[in-house]
This record gives sequence, structure tokens and C-alpha cells, in this order.
Amino acid sequence: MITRSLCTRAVAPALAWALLLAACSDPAEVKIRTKTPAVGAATAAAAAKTNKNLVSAVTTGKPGAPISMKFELLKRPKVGEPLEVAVEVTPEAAGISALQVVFQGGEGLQLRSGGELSATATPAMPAGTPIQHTVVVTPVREGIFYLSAVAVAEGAGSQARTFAIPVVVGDSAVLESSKSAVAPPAASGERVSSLPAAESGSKP
Amino acid sequence: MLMAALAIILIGGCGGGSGSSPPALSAAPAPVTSVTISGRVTFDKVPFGAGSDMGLDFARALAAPVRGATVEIMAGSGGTVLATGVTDAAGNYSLSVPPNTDVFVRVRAEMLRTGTPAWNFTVRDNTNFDSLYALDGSVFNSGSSASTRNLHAASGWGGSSYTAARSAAPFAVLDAVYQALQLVLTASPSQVFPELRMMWTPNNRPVTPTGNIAAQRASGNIGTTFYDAGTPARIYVLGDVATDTDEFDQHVLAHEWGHYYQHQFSRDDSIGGAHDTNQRLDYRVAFSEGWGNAFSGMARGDPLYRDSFTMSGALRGFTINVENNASLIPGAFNEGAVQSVLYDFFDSANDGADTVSLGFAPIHAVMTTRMRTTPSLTTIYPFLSALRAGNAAQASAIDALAAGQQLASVTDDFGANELNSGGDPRNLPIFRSVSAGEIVPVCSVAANGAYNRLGNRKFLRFDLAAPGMITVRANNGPAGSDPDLALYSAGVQRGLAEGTAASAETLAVSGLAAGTYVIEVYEYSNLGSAPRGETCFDLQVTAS
Repeated sequence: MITRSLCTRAVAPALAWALLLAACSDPAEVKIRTKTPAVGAATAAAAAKTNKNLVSAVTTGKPGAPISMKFELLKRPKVGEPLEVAVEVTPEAAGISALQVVFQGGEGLQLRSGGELSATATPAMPAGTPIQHTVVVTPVREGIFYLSAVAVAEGAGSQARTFAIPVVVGDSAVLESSKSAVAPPAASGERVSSLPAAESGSKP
Repeated sequence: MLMAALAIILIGGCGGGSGSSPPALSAAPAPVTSVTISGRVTFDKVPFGAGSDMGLDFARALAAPVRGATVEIMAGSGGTVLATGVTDAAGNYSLSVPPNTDVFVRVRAEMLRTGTPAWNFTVRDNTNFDSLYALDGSVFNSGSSASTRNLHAASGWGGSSYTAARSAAPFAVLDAVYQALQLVLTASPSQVFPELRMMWTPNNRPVTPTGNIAAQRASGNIGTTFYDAGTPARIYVLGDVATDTDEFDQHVLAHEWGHYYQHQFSRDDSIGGAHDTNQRLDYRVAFSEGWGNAFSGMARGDPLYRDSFTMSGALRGFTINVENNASLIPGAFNEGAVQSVLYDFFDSANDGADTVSLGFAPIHAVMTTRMRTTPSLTTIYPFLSALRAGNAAQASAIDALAAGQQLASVTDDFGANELNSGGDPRNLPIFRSVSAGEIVPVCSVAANGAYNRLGNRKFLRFDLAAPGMITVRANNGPAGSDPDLALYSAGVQRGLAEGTAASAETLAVSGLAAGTYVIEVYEYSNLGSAPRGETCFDLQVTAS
């Protein structure tokens, strides 16, 4: 599972995100090839330490539909200009007879076309064969926004997987993502995120 | 409870006198030194709708108790803790504080206990400096008598969308932890649990992080809900209302907590990666994910794993029946088959080939002993072998249940007598024994996909008779091939060779103790996006 950019027409690297979005995939778990000496005479102690670190890098995610998604923003997003997003959806297991992916623009992105991808096959889609799709959105203002996608695969059962594609409109360096308020540190210096309670009861 | 009572002392006459009444002296009321503040803490617990594809049903939300959470009475200014306690199983608390003081009640999204047993579970905001969530009441004066302050964490749902703070979310997450904790305590009442941080925020969205992973996670790009086996351990939880929130998906949370359990108390050799119940997976991945699914059913007392999501604004969901015996591709390489047998070992309901009802204690015993120390890898085989050995009277029933998922009756940790190849004879034996000096052909395949699928990586077993060095050589690969090697001892990687030399690889590891080692061999491209498929090498192991 190697993360590889689809961007042959890459624009600004920060915008040219291309991801393999899969069940419990996370770049931290993607094997990064670090070519070691052909003969690794590791000591037992050193090897044990290395292994501990390796285990720590493994992330394991929740179950979901065996679908992966890659994407490419075909140009730099600008306010008011339609933006094509090339999407590649791949069934990662045999036995998927129907696939539906619904895209949603959400805040800051107006969905223009390609909001839904549907595919069926009898008896099932071949695993590993990608399906190409294009979504067009129009950014309505500057900011960091997300084109969301929810994929539902039908096969032996129905399972879903969710994705989100970041779209950075404008100068990302000056953009502030929304943050919840940070309460003053307690005496211990601990940071607390305060949430309001509904209260009832007798007062003194 | 400290009570300041008004004492009235009557000093009786000692006789004598003139018959006049002795003077009655009333002492001044003792000063009130403390007052009690008590109450109940609850949160909106949101269930799923009735159908298998139904999502969260906010209309049926219930006020459930916040259990085992830390409660503080804070000075009104917010900086000082005046009293600390813990909610009971009904969400109740009772604390004493100074009278006539401005205070407020704070419920920390935290379960903390020292001593034996011990735990430290918190719910934090990874996009806000890992700050701890807390439910805060309003400031009031403690007065001079007892008072009641009930706190409720509301979901924030306004009927068709969130319209207020999602106060319930951290406590729903904490509740899933509470339930999983109780299950483990039934088998191990003195268990000390390493710290675990549950990282949830509405900003946690399904964007797979790239580049600076830590920075990406701090911005909410977590990819999916997952367990991070770092120090401290963390479980990141989706909270993105546009696509996927998991705070009320109790099975999802319990699944990830199951990974925490396996990592902390057992051993998890899983290599991670994409997985699904309809795939032929690396045996380690199949066990780890099957365990997570089965554990979620055990912890919840409900075999219907449910996950909610939002699609076109509609609240949807899907269901996995972890007790379902109808795996399409049964075998040790399939997480669906693994979850089915594990859950059936646990549950009291008999179905199909299941006549076993062991409960959690025997499972915990296996997970914390043989699975932790096995010289093999953490597949279903050492589990079956140890469970069978520890429950001899039920060995036949265990075998029958395993056979229902096309798992061999095993008496060793390596599945030596397994005949289920997953439809590809090249996958057997699972662990090929190799002797010093022997040359054996090994083929890495990609018939089931890449990276973590059955056949990508092949395993050999080598017994080192005396302390020394093991040298593994993979030779005679086809042009353009790239064999790689790893050596394991009881799950610990003792050496890794990923050289770039074409068609050959050598791994030499010194300072090894006598014992059993596992050698992993793979064609490197079969782990990536352009697998070359079947690629065979001649493998030779020498000891010196």
C-alpha cells in the first residue's frame, strides 16, 4: 500500500493531494522503503528496540467497505471558478456487486456536477480495477474546505467507507481553521476543553 | 458526610438550690465547615434505528449515567479544585466543599484509578493541544446546607442537525471504554491498564494524513477511527458530522479498544493495512481484525456490530453480525471466520457448530499467556492450540466450532496440519520448517492483492539449536525481482534486510539465543501498487 500521487499535471504541491484511502490505511502504516545494508548484523538488543518502534507505527482502523479512493485536483482552486476533481474508486475485494459513492460539497464548496457515482456488475466487480469519475465543485470563498464522499458497497452484505478530500482555496498560510475555545490551564497547567452542561437540582 | 449540628447543651441541676430552674445555656451554633453537593451526571446516549442499514436515532436518545468519571468541585474562578470524587455506576456523586463559596461542578471525561486495579482513560481533543474534555456546570454559591446539582451532557442535536455543543460525545466515548473495562475486570480484577487517550473532536474527519502525520492529526485529518499503539496509546475517533461520527458507535469504539487490549496485554503482530471480511488476508491481520470485531461483541454483549455515517444528509449505518457463521471464504486468513469462532467461544448462545460457552476468562487467559509468548506469529493457531489445551474437556467442541470455519484442529502454534489453502495450494504449509543448510523454494504471490493479503509474505520456521548467528539467503529470483527478508523471535523482529540488489537478498543476525525463529520472505513489489505476482526464490538458512 504505497501512497502515490496521481498528479501528472501537478499544481502547487500543497494542493496536489493524492491519497490511497482505505480501510485502516494511514500513511504511518504505509511501508516506507528504507533500504538497509544487505547484511544486517543487528544485535538482539538493537533489534528488539527497533521492533518496538515498528509496532508503534502500525495503526489499525475500523472495519468498512473494501474500497479505496484516490483523487487529483486538476487545477489550483480559486473562488468562483469551477474546479474539476478527478477521482479513482477501486474495489479492493472480490464480491462487490454494486457500488455507490455520494459526494457532498459542504461548507465553502458548491457541488456542480458528479455528485454521485454508481456502478453495478454481475456477478461482481473485479477487485483492483479502478473506476474513474469526475466531480466539479466551485469554491465560494477562501478557506480550507472538504469535499466529502461516502461509499457504500453491496456484496455479501452492505458496508460503507467515508472519505474527505481537502480543498485549499487561497493562501493556506493565512487561513485559520476553526478551533474550539481553550479554557485557561488549571493549576496543574492542564488544558481543558469546557463543554456546557444542562443542570437541574436544588440550590442552597 | 460531615454534618455541623447545632448543639444544645442542657446543664442539669445538681440538686439543692431553692427550687428555681437551673439556667439553660444555649451554645452558639458551631460554624459550618463544609456542605455537601451531590447529584447525578448523565449524557445523551444515542441508539441506532431498528433496521440494519439505519443510522443514529436521536429521537430515542436516553439519559444514561456517566459512570466512573472524575467529578470536581471547582472554585468559581476556575483554577482551584476544592473536592474530587468519582461517579458511581448510576452516575451519582457526593462531595463536601466549604460553605458559602462560589463553585461549579466539573465532570472530567476521565476514568482514573490508582492502586490495584488501576487505569487512566481520558477523552481529549487532538485539535486543541490534546486538551481534556470536561462538562462544566454554572457557578453557584455552595451556601450553608446540602444541595443537589445534576449535570447532563446533551448531544447538541437539534432535530435535523447539530445546533448546540456536542457535550455528550466525550462521555459516550468514555462509556464505551467503561464497558470494555468491566469485561476485562471480570477475568482479571487486579488488572493495571496502561494509559489510553481517546482522541475525539468534531474536527476529526476522514482525510488520510500525508506528510507530517502528527501535524495532520493535530488538524483533524485522521483518516478513520483507529488505534495508535504509541506511548501513551491513543484511539483517534471520527467526529465529522458531514460524513462520519463514531462517538455513539459503541461497537466501533470497542473494536479499537480491543486492539488496545491485544497490544497491551497480549501481542499483536499485525502489519495493518486495508482489510475486510471478504478478503483473504495475512494471517496476522485476519486475527487482529477478527479479534477486534469479536471483542466489540463481547464487550457490548451484542454481536451486531453497527457503524453509523451520513449520506446525502441522511443518517445511515451498516451492520456486521460477528456471530454470523456464513463467511464466504472461511479460513484462518479471513477476519470474518476468525471473529465468528472467537465470539462463539465466548457467548452462551449455541448456533450451528457452536456448543461452546466459555465466557471471557478462558479467552483472556489464552490472550495473556500463549498468544503473548508464542514462538509463532499471532494468528488464530496459537489461540486455538492454547484454548484447546486449557479446556481439554471441550476440545472436541472447540475443534467442531473451528471446523465450521474451515480451520484445522490444531495442536501446535504453527497450524502444521492446516489443509485450507484459501484456494491456492501455494499458500501451504503456512510455516514451512527448514533445516540448516537446506535449500527450499519459496514463492511470494499477489493473487489476493498486495501488502497484507494472503500469499504476499511467506513464512518459514527455523529452530536454532545453539546460541549464535542465523544467516538467511534468498537467491535465484527472476530478473527484476527484489526479495526481502525478516527474522522474528516470539514476534520481535530480530533483523530485516531490504537491500536493492536484484534477485537476491541476505540477512545475517548474530547474538541469537537458541530457540524457534520465524523467517518472513516477500517479493517487495507484492507489497505495493504494482505487484509482479508470483515470484519465487531459493531460500537457504545457515546457523553458525
